[in-house]
Amino acid sequence: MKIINQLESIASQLPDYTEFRVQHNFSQSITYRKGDLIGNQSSSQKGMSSRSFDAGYWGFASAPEANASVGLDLIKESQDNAHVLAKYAHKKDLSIQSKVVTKTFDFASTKSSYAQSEKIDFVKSIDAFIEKNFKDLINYATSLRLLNMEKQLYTSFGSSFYSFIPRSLLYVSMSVEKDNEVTDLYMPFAQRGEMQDVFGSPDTLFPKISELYENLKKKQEGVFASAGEKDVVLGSELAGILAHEAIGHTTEADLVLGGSVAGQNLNKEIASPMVNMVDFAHTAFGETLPVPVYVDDEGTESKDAVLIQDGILKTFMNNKETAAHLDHELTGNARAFGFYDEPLVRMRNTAILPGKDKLDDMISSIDDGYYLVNSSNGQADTTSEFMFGVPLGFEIKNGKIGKAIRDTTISGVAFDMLKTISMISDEMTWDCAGMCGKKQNIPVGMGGPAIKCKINIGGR
Amino acid sequence: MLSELKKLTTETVNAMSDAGVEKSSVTASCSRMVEYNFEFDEPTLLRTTQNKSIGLDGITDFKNASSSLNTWEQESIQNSVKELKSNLAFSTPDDGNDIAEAQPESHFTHGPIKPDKDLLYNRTQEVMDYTQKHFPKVKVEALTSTHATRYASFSNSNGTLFTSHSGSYGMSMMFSGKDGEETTSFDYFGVSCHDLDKAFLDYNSNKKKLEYTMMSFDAQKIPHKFEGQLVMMPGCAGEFVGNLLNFVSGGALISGKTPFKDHVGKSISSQHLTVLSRPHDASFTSKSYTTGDGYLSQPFDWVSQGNLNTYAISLYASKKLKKERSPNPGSALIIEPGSKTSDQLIESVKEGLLVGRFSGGSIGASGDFSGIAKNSFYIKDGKINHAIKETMISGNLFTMMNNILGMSSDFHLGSSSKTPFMMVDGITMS
Repeated sequence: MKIINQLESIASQLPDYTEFRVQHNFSQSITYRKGDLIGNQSSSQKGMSSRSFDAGYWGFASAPEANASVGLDLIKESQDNAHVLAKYAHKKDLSIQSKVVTKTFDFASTKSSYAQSEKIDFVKSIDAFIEKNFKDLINYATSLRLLNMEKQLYTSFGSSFYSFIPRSLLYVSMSVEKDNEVTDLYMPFAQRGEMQDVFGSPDTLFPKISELYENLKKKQEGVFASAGEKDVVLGSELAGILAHEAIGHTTEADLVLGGSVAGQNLNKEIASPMVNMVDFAHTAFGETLPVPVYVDDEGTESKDAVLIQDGILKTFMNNKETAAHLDHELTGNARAFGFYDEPLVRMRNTAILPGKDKLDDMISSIDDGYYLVNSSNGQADTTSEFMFGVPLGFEIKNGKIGKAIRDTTISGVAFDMLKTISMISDEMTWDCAGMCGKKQNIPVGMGGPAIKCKINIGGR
Repeated sequence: MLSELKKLTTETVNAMSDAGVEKSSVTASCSRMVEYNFEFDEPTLLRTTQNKSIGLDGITDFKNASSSLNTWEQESIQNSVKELKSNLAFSTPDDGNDIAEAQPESHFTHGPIKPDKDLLYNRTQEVMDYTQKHFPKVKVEALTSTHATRYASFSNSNGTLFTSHSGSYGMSMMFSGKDGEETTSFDYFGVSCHDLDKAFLDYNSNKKKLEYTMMSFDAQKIPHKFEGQLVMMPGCAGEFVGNLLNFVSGGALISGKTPFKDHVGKSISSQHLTVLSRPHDASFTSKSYTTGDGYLSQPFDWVSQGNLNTYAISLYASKKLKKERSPNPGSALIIEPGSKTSDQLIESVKEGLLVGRFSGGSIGASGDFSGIAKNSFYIKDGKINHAIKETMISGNLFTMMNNILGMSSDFHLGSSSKTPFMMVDGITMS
């Protein structure tokens, strides 16, 4: 309860309908490149915002202060903004739902914070490990990125919450050169939690970093993929980003109202019956997820959105406005990144659920195809057409892992591709290294098992 | 406001010096924004924001640390100076760390400081009305218009003082076609301007983009895999040229991840490519009067008829590479137009694509790329035949840039860029 105690008085003064949020984002980044400390920065963004709803329109105002006097001015300004919009346009008959919820979810560490010197030494140790052990690299970099998001929300209908959600990310990249041709590979290590809860001794990461180097060397000797539609096994990391980009975005209700192809497919079969996909609010399989949201930034209690059940598209992710337009139930998906941002429909922890197959059996079932391990970037479309860059993958020949492949791209139409899924592994991984960009960048969790499907792969 | 900012940055530089920081730079700014949001074809939100910042950058014994805050409270700044001093002690020396030598005191101003909120709303509603009337099958996913102002001051311990105040209007729209159950790929455009004298849709080829979306229903796969020509629309062309220029900048030289080491005076592309950096160009709404490392920005010719004139090198990179710093770090780029119109370029294509957007993986040092052609059309014998779907284009960036067949005479004017259509050969489409 660090940032906002003096603002509790505002909670009882909120006019109907108003949300009032106080927020502090603190980020830090430390980067070493080939022995040089090229980044040693911290950033603090603290402030308040008020959002009002009147006559079918929203008004929002924010300021970089955290005191009650400015807060009251912001409440007035957000009301005025809603009135101005109502004056320009006609009155809308739009009624939003609100249910009272009060919660606190604080993931601050109970351990002492690392000192700045310890943080720098941590990154420096990894940089030194790479320099000592992998002599043929032409470039390597290690970057530590920490983000703490602390929020307090009060609403005129009585909901309130406090949250403190930290994320710690370490990013290691390496490059080798042969015959004037450069090969790159990188790996993120990310988890919810402050650094002292996520990263212990740097030694614990050395085996993973060595594995990264070994894969880089394999990739350097790799072959180009053969272009065309192929049988593939998508690794669990790739399945997670597939769930987020290719399917998740099309089922965000604001994009549905904007024309997404998911709109006309509600309650229709869009995937193999073995496919189940959920945007989890905070908990799954008995574990707290990477980006837990118990109450969203509109003061709605968050609940899981079951997007695909046994291959059938079942629901969309909503905020108050989209739920009113579609006459759907609230899912608690409204999230804002900074104090100056309005809540948008955002994913939380989006995952394809595990199946019953073993990864080894999935690989051995393919005569000629690929095992695609992870993704560098991805884009999707309102049509559900998607593209992902694949920095690490391997040939599958006669059921066995073969040579590594060079950088490639995979693509497809998600609502077609999902129907080709024939096996799903029984294990899944969660990741929260990514920031989802949709007007605002915001941390998201994504997860998945390995899946076997048919997909278009780029190559030569 | 400016005098307050000036006082804040100079006093903070002095406080850092008093604390024992050898070299320091401080930037402070104050910004305000008004933003109208339309979703689902109607207005939804009026958002007004204000923010302030102060960024401290310090160097002692070649060690560097920096921090930024969004408060100007003296106690917070004093704590930040103390913390930065402490962070410097734990940092690592790097002979690239330095600050710019003293520059002449300068003040810059451009654009409207006060918004005309009524007219901004009317111009935004006009976009919506025109689209609904003339393109009823275009669905507007998000339409945003803004007015933003910024006051800023920069000081460093060598005595430099820059101040500026600026304002601009902006509009962006994301949309797709919807006809019954058929949906087209999304597309978007944006406008940045200093006044609201003309309609947002009259800038660049915004109306043409809406027409392209209407032409995108009944998209088909290309008839066969082939190697042919691409005419890239400006947004796509700018992206590929930007990728090439990344390989002739300081970051690529330091990492070694470039095929263009020791290439000054040598060819890096076809003679059809000329790139000029013009940070003060009169047509740009976003001007770069100063560099991030504390110099006054100057223009330079980056690439002339395919030959590299200089690398784009910051102060840090110049120290690391022992090369001369470039007049600016490579901002505000003008890709010189050609002599033929974009329509004439399309007419000269035997078989290929008109590509609006490339959705592909990041291009690594090998230059190999592959990705999907979005908002794109199949061209046969100089005529646009049909919209395409599920079509992958692949090639090598460096080979492709040596196979530029021409730039268009018409170009897209961005807030700090001018980019024509670009026609290239030898691309595989599948």
